[in-house]
Amino acid sequence: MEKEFLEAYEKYADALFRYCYFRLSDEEKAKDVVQDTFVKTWDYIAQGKSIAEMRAFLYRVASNCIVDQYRKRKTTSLNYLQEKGFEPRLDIREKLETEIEAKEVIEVLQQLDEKYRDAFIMRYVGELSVKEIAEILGEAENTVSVHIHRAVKQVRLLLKHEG
Amino acid sequence: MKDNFEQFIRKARQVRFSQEDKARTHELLSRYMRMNPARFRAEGRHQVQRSPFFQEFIKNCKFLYKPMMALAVLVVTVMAGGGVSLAAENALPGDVLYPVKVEVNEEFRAMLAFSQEAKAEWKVQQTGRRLQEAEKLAAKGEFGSETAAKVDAKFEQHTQKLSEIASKLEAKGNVEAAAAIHSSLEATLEAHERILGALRGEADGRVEEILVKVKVKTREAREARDRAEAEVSAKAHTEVKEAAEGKLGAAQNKIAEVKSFIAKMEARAGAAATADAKARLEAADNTLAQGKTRLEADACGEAFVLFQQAMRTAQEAKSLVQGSIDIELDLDDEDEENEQELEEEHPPADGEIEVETEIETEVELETDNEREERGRSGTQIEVEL
Repeated sequence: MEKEFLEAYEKYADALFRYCYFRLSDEEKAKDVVQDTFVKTWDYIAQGKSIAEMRAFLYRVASNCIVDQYRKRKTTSLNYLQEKGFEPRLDIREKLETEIEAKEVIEVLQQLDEKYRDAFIMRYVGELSVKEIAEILGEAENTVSVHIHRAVKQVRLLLKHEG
Repeated sequence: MKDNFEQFIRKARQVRFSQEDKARTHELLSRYMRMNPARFRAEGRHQVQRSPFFQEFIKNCKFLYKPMMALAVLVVTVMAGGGVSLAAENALPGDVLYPVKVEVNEEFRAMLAFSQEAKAEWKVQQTGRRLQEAEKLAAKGEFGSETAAKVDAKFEQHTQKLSEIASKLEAKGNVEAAAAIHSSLEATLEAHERILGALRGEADGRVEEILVKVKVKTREAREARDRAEAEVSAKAHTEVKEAAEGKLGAAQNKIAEVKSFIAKMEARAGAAATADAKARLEAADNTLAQGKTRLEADACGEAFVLFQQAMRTAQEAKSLVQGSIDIELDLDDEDEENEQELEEEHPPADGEIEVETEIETEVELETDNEREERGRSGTQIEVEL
């Protein structure tokens, strides 16, 4: 059981981190949440409860942690973050290129409406199904689809203007 | 156009969890799993643990090189079926399991904190734990001079570290986080001031000594908090607004957390303490409402200050309940200074505050950490050497 769990960690941690990173725009907090998520999931398992769909479960727990983080401190605009010296630091090997790219991505994402942004990130970064997203956010599947669609439109528009 | 979008998504998906961090978390997770083994398999049979925890333990604790200690721990481990670290949570200085509490449990929780703010919040809790231990011992009449000296040293150490973390954050411009740290420490220390105040006469004046030091630190924390809050208010309007909105969320969370804590502990804390705590919580709610009004009026700096105050009041309510469970006591506040300060921040309570409790013989868990609020039951373990 422990072995399986750690295997799940190796399998899902990257994607989960990515997901948290974009929703929180903060590397440190993303790390905190990833850790919290796996710890809480282990607690659940240690009580003898079984998890049918590990990936979905992890994302659900992570999403709850993210909401907690939102409540603690509202995510601030990128400019503010840059003033405070926020630089998206990533794996050393791919540092320079991916840093710049990650910054571009965040810049675009920050300009989306929050509701659209979350659904968008969950769909395109988290690769969750509309059904899963709807469950996690507690919204109707239709609403989620609309939000994703609008987000894509906004993103396309923003990318056009970037030149 | 389509290319741009796909490129965009591709860029996003290139972000990765750094090898270092991933491995580190893996390691932490493994340790956590070993310390909190699955007690039930999916089939539902109770698992008897042979405790790999013991090996983990030996790696971490120097004191185990004494053979008697090792034997004691072995006995304890076998009896507890792997839940040793949990049982250690209520250990006091001098108990067999106390080193487990401090060197294993607390070390581990310190490691779990990545961000500076998380580290600081844990330090505040650690400070509270040392004071709580002193209070429990004093109430039992077991607060000796050696222990007192250790508590004093730890207290200095933790508050000093907190000062450093807050300064670093301020230097980076993150005054909001610094303000939060000062506020959290202030609330914790104030609560312990009251509890220690009620134990004044105990332990040949040793409680009094600690109380004096705590009061000094409380004042320092309050002043630092004031300064930090002023700095937050002096920032650009949008930043102050965001800070205030964030604090509103945090305060709402805190109040909700304390509400459920009180509900859970009601039976054990007794009617008087619960009533007092609930009154404080109401005061916190009122302060929150005031803050909201200020926020709507766009007086964001004031709102920020009020929300922090609401959080402190809520924390005090929680500490009050916890304190009354920890010790059998009448928390009669004879200290005029305290009463005055209380009246400034809270509506005056009816008459004096009296708390009657019975000493519990079962082991209770600290519910400071959200993780522990799963409500696991601990086991009381006594080992005679």
